[in-house]
Amino acid sequence: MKWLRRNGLVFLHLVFYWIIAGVLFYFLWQQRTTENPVVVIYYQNQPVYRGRLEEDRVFTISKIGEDVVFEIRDGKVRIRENHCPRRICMRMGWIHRIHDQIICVPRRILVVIEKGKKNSNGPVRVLTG
Amino acid sequence: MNDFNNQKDIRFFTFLLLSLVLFVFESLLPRPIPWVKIGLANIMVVSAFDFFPLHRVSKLVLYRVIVGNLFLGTIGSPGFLLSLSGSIASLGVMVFLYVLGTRNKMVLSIHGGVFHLLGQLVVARQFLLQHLNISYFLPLLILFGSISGLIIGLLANGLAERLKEYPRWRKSS
Repeated sequence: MKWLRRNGLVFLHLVFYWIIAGVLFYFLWQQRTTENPVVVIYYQNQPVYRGRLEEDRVFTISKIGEDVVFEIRDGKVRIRENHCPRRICMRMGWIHRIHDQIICVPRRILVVIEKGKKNSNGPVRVLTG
Repeated sequence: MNDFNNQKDIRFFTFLLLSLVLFVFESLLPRPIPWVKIGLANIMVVSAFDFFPLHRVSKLVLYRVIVGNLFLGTIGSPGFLLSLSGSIASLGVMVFLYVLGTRNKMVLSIHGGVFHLLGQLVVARQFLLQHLNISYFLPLLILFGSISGLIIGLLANGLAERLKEYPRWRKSS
């Protein structure tokens, strides 16, 4: 109580940010869905792969390099191998919900789950390379 | 007069060296959560507001980012760009609040911590990963930025209070 009286202003600033974070989290949570997920992989801001998550596969994309290995399994996708300095992207693990993302900043790779079209059973497409 | 100027420079470079040591030390620590770190080097930046004028605090941040990334070998890498952008955003907000009259180091540090991460996110979106969905990361980054800012502010407050007990460590111009 004494700490609160002396540092009430600090507490107010903290609560301000926590409220913002809470509201944003709530809106994001409302949008979380796994309906018609499509995985899109961007490399240096260009889409290089687009595909569905139904079929399990392990693959590389020649434009990115053979040292980056992607894996799709049980409706989820991850970066299985990468030789970037900190391998943060590998530690981000599996993603499968719409708007989920995996980022590799040094290699400028972005793996995103986007909302696909309903009843779309299009083939897996490597877009470049 | 020369001795007085030397004393000012010694105090400044002491802060800079400590800031660099903390920066390099923290880069060696494991990070359980990706990208998130406390930002120990900012203890020196936040406490510097009590001992140096604003232009010297700005130089402290700039030198620390450039020299620190030189030590780590990340100059010119995307990591350097993010480090620089985050530090500038954080410094900008803290200087703005300081000019408005905010002297509480914990308040400065909380805002600095949040804006450091926001600055990095905006630059990453703008220059590195243009399809990045910022809103996905915002809640977590705001939460961690505010908490790390509070911790840094507490530590900076403690450091500044201890240093003020010594007459040599008074605000220099």
